Amino acid sequence: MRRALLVLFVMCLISIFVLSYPITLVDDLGRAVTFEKEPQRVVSAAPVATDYLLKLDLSNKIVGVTSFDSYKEAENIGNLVPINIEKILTLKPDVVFTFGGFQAGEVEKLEKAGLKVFAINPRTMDDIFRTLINIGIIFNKSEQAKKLSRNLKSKMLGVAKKAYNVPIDKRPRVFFASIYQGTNEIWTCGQGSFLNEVISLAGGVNITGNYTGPNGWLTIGMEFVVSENPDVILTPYYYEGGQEEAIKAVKSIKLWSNLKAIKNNKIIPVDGNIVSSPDTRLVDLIVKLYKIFYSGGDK
Amino acid sequence: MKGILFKGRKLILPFFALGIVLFLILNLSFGSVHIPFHEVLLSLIGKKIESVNETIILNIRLPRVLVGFLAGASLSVVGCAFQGFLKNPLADPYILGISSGGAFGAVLAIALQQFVGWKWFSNMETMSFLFALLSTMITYFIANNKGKLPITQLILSGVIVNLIFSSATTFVIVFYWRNIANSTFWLMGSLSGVFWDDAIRLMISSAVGISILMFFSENLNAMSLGEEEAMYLGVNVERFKLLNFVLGSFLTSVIVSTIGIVGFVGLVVPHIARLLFGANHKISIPTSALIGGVFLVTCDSIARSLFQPTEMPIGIITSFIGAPVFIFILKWRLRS
Repeated sequence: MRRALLVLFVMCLISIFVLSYPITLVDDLGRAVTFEKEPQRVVSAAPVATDYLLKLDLSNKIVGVTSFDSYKEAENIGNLVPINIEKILTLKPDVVFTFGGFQAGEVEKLEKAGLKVFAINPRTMDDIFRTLINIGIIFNKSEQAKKLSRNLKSKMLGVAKKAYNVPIDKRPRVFFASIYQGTNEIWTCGQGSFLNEVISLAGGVNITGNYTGPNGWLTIGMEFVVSENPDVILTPYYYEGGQEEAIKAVKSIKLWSNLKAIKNNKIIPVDGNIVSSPDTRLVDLIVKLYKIFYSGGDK
Repeated sequence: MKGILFKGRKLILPFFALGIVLFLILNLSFGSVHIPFHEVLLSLIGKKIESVNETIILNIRLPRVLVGFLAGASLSVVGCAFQGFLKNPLADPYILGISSGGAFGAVLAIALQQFVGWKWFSNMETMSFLFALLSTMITYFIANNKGKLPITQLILSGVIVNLIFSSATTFVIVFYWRNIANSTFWLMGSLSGVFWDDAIRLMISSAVGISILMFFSENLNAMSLGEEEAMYLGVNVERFKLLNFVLGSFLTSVIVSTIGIVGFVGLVVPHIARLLFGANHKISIPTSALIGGVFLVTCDSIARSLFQPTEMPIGIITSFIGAPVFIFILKWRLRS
């Protein structure tokens, strides 16, 4: 927390004293990226980046998005990996945003083709606010970004502070179940994943919070879930109207029929695009989960 | 066995080659962005065209087409040589376990990326090259019997090594479950993102490898008569087998580590070359190279433009296009 505040403070200093182009920022792959002028044409090579751009009213600058993006107003550049360099080149972007370590190999290719790349990889709520401010700085919108991040943060803390006061034994025990049908493999969020933080801030106790895997995500056996007997099960759906099916998938696991969450009908479908994307929409998810955990809540 | 297009006449090879150069240039105008043919020509002779198109043609498509051609040519030549010296029509460049070794190296590199900082061990290309070589070395040592390489033993140990490394690949994928998008594309082969350094590396290795194999095509002819006959004809059989083995492994592992595993080319193109131009390796090796190169370049043009802006892995295209073509030629040959 203190470190995050320090980072914010340093950024405020930067923005007050030296916010004029050229600007050099260090991206999440540890590369120093210099912007000679305010970028006018942007390719968002990962859906995560698009949310930040939209939140900062930069939609008019987005010239390309991947086919996985829910934002469709820009040219389609195809896959996240392998990235279509030809297509991106013809869009003549001033900067390309990529996401996470899995696009790191693509960053190299883009640079070889002479493109400027800024990689983001937010993994915690603090990272999300920092990324928002970084992108604000890049586009000469640091004031707006700071204000937005302040608002989002206070919204998040407003809920979190209420949740802090709930006695530990009164907090609902929560399980996140992403069920791969066919293989019946169950992925969940452990320590180090942003979703674990979201659940904790909303006042839940993630039953797999003590375990971890790649980037914090891990597979878990069905019996473990039985032994932990969660009060609430969160499960993702990926298209509008997919909620019922998501609930059905959880209910179809016979081993779980005696779980408290299932008996009390506390299976909560959550938007899969939000829980898989570390961006500002998670703040609303925290608010929503808090309501579900503590007032019965509307789904 | 004489081929359909080559019945004792001197071959029309020079015309063939000229046609191929034109064909390669034609392929430069295909892709997710259409660039008119005259612009391609202008940029190739050094005239100024729109700078983005120039970058695309000279720095992205030209190396890509070259890599495609060289990879297709080398895979086919290795396939042709392997089919000759192993006397097995089902042999292909991957028969000695190279593909699964290379695949394992690549997937291991992905898995290690989170632990190992040293660039070499987290670099997919390097790791797949090392493991491709390692797998063929294991194959060699299993098959090696007092300095001799019995062919059945060689093929069998190739099968075993393939099995070992593909289970190891699956193990790593399941155990680390990480960045699978990268590895699937790699396992099915893709020419996306190759640059000049890849093209130059392949130019050197293919030039060396293909010319050595061409130089020894007389030996291959002798070998396809049988080992004993080859010995009477003055071929040092064991040393020749070793040469084929080392050259084939080297060429294939360079390709596997650059573009991943592209199936079908090395298996079928040599058959097509033999059907069309006859079984004499002096002819079938260079024609395999040309047909293989043209074939892979065509498949890559389809892979990158048909479903644009998304790219298909090239392995899918090679099988979809290659299988019907092969069936057609086979039927045609039987009829005539």
